[in-house]
Parts: sequence; structure tokens; C-alpha cells
Amino acid sequence: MKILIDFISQCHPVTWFLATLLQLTAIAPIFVIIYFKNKLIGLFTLLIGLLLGIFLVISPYVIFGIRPYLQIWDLDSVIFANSSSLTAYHTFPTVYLISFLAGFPFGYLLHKNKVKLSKLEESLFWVLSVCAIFGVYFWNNTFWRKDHSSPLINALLWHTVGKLAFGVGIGWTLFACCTGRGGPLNRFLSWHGFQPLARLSFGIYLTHFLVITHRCFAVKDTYQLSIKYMIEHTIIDIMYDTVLATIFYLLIEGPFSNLFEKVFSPRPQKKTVVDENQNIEHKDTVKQSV
Amino acid sequence: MSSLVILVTIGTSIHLYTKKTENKPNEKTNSSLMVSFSLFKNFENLFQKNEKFAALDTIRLLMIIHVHFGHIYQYATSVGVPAVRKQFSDVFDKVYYDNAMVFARSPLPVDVLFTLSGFLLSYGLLRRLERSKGRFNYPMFIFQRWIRFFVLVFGSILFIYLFPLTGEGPIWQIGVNKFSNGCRNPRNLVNNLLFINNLNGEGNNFNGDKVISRNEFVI
Repeated sequence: MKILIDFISQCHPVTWFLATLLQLTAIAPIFVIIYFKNKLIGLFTLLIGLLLGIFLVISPYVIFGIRPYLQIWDLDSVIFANSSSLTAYHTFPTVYLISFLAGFPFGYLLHKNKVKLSKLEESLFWVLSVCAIFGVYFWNNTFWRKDHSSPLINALLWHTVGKLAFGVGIGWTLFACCTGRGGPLNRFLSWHGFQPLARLSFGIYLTHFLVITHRCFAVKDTYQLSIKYMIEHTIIDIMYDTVLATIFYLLIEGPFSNLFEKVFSPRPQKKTVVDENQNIEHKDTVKQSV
Repeated sequence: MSSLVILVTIGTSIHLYTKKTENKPNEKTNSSLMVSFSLFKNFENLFQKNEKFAALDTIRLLMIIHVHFGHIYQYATSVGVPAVRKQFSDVFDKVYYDNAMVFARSPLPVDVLFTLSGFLLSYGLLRRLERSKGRFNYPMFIFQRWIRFFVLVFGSILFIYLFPLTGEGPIWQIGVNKFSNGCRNPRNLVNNLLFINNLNGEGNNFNGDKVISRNEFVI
């Protein structure tokens, strides 16, 4: 077996996600400010951004000859995580520019707030989105073969066209859920029982690595790995992680979130409708973090 | 970590005191800022209802659970191998090659999180620009984002320092050394806190001390 992973010697490996997100956040105002000044030029800039995203995704291969990590049998290192491919195609911000920008047009539409669609159009968008999401999700299976890599063009297409279609599908789903077009899916996702857990999601992400490492190394005997074992322990690990994330929330995330809200809030003394909106927006942007 | 516990204790005490005497602390006074650390306040916040974007919060939660799922399967069959009896186990094959186990290999949940961020960020920025009539303080925007992430990453690294105390066993120390050494390396810490730890190429990103042998994890 060639797939080997050693994330352990990095400090807090999962924080690569936040680094990438912060870097992408830094360029977001450029697109939004241009759109705010002139909608047509803004949309054109977004299109250029998406095309640039496609080029940047394939550039590690085009410029440096680094193959996508999905071509698992052709990597430059026997250690999967040590291969330059994983950095180039998994942690670099350029890889996620397409997915990130795919959310923008739907954010613009949400802001516009007066988008009229007929039932037929809505149904069509739903069908296309579901097809895109599931199609791209299961397309991933074509890369995992025991004796050969998938063709290069397949891997590059998945990283570019596939992720664009997936991002647009997800973007529509988010937009539909925010504008009352989600139907039973929106009702399920908006269930109040999920909300405390959803607030812990950042903590769950940041601490899940501890629980998993504990599972792997705090053993006193060897054990037989089976699917049943994996399912049972996955459920237990997620419960542990929820407890850990609650501690994290009460000690760090919650207090500092309140603190920053007070410190950065522009005019907290005025209790006007505008200020209430600011608070809503403020909370939204906090939650964008993950 | 102990400083945080003390802050939370003081914040909770002030919150209880102000609640009891019904004195509402002025905004931005020291006591008001300390109440931010109140255990009760944060516990209440945890159960507050969010009407507008509740579905998005749940989508984020489900994607993070998906990431958690994937990592559990990937780690148990890679770094966790020393503890596994490999004979007769078909899990290794299934995790990497069985079509039904695509959830253990797919990186797409991360893409969902980025799309969600792009969606909310574009919406939030447009609202902000509309309110400020087009004025935008870019350095402050970046600083606010950075300081929020900084506190959370720094806070979660504190948990990593406590991690060695949480277990024991014949291979525990191996795991702890590998896990904690990364955070003892100042270069790694600086990279993490400046949020550039995703940019190191050639595997340095995942091998801070560069001592790993290629054969170390060969199965």
C-alpha cells in the first residue's frame, strides 16, 4: 500500500484550513468592492477570478510538473503527506479559489433580496445542483484504484470543472435555504436541536485531531480493525469531541467572541434598527470562519 | 490555560453579582468586558436561536463531522497502524479502494466550507459597504479577521500542550512526541500564528523537524 500519512510532526495540522481561509478572505474585498461600484464590471471581475482560479489549480502541473495527489501511484514521495502534490493541490489557497468564488454570485443575489423565480426554474436549479453535487462527489471514486492512477486529464478536470460545478451546486443550496426555497431540506437543517452543536462546529474542527490521535496511540494492546469497530468508535469519538469543543467554547471561543464584539462594534450605545442589523451581520461574519 | 480559567471565574462572578444587584454594567467598562468570560453568558449563547442562517450553521456542522469521519478512517489505517492486527483485516483495502467508502477519502467537505465562507463574506461585505456608503477600512478588516483566528488557534494549541497528560500505553509516548514536537518547534508556531503554515512546499509543512524516515510508516 502506497498511501501513507504523517501529519503528526506539524504543529496543529488542521489549522492549514484557517490559514487558507484568511488568505482568501484578504482578496475577497477586491471583488465585492468592484461589484458594489459597478455590478457589470463586478460580475466580469468575478468571471476573470474564476478563470484565474482554474489556471492556478492546474499551474503546479503546467509550470512545475507536479501531478495532482489524486494520481496516487505517480506521486513524488512514498509518504503521501510529504509529497509536494498535497501542498500544491490540497493546502494552497489557489486550490480553493474556485470554490470560494463560486459562493460570491449567490451572496450577491442574497443581498439583492428580490430574486423572482418560477417554480419550474427553482425545480430546474435544484435538479442541476443535486446532479452536480452528487456527480462530482462520486467522481472522486474514479481516482482510487489498486494498481494504476487515473488519467491526468481526469484528475485536472475534477479539480477545475468538477469543483466549479460542485461549488455552484452548493452555492444554490445555500442561497435556496436562506431565501425560503429549501422546502423540507431547509426545515430539517434549521431544526433548533442542531444549533448548539452547530455553534460548537469550529471547536469540533480545531480539537478533533486530539481525539483521533488519542484513539490511535492510547492503546494497550493491538486490536482487529473492522468496519463495525470503526463505526462504533467514530460515534464515540464524535461524542468526546463534542465535550472537548464545549470546553473550548466556554473557555476560549465564546468569551473572546463576546469581547471582540464589544471592542470592534462601531456604535454600541445606539439601539437603532441599523445597529441591530449590524449585530446580525457581525455574528454572520464571525461564523464565516469555518 | 490557568489564566483563562481565572478569567472565566472572575467573569462569572461579576455576571452573577450584577444579575443579583440588577446593576447593568455600562458598555465597554472593565466589568462589562469581564462579563464576556461569564460561563453562564456563554452557556446561554450556546443555546440561542439563530433564525436567519440556521440551515447554513447546520451545513457547516455536517461538513465538519464529515471531515472528522474521513480523518478517523484515514488515521486509523495509516499513523494508527502500530496498534492494529493487520491479518484478516479488510479495512485497509476498503478505506482506500471501496466505492462505498468514498466519504473517507473525499476532500469536498472542505470545498463546501470555502463556498459557504465566500457566500457569507460577499453578502456581509456588501451590507457593510452599503451602510458605510462605500467606505471600507481594509487594514482593520484584515486585523479583525486575523485577531479572531489568532485567539482561536492559540487557544487550541494550549489544548495540544495539555495533550500528553491525557493518556498512557506502550506507544503513547511515540504519538505524543510526534504530536507535541511540532508545537515545540518555534518556526512551526510562528507559521501557525501568522497563518502561513499552508504555504510550505516539499512536505515541510507536514514534517516540521525534517527527521522522518521514508520507511518509517511503510506498511
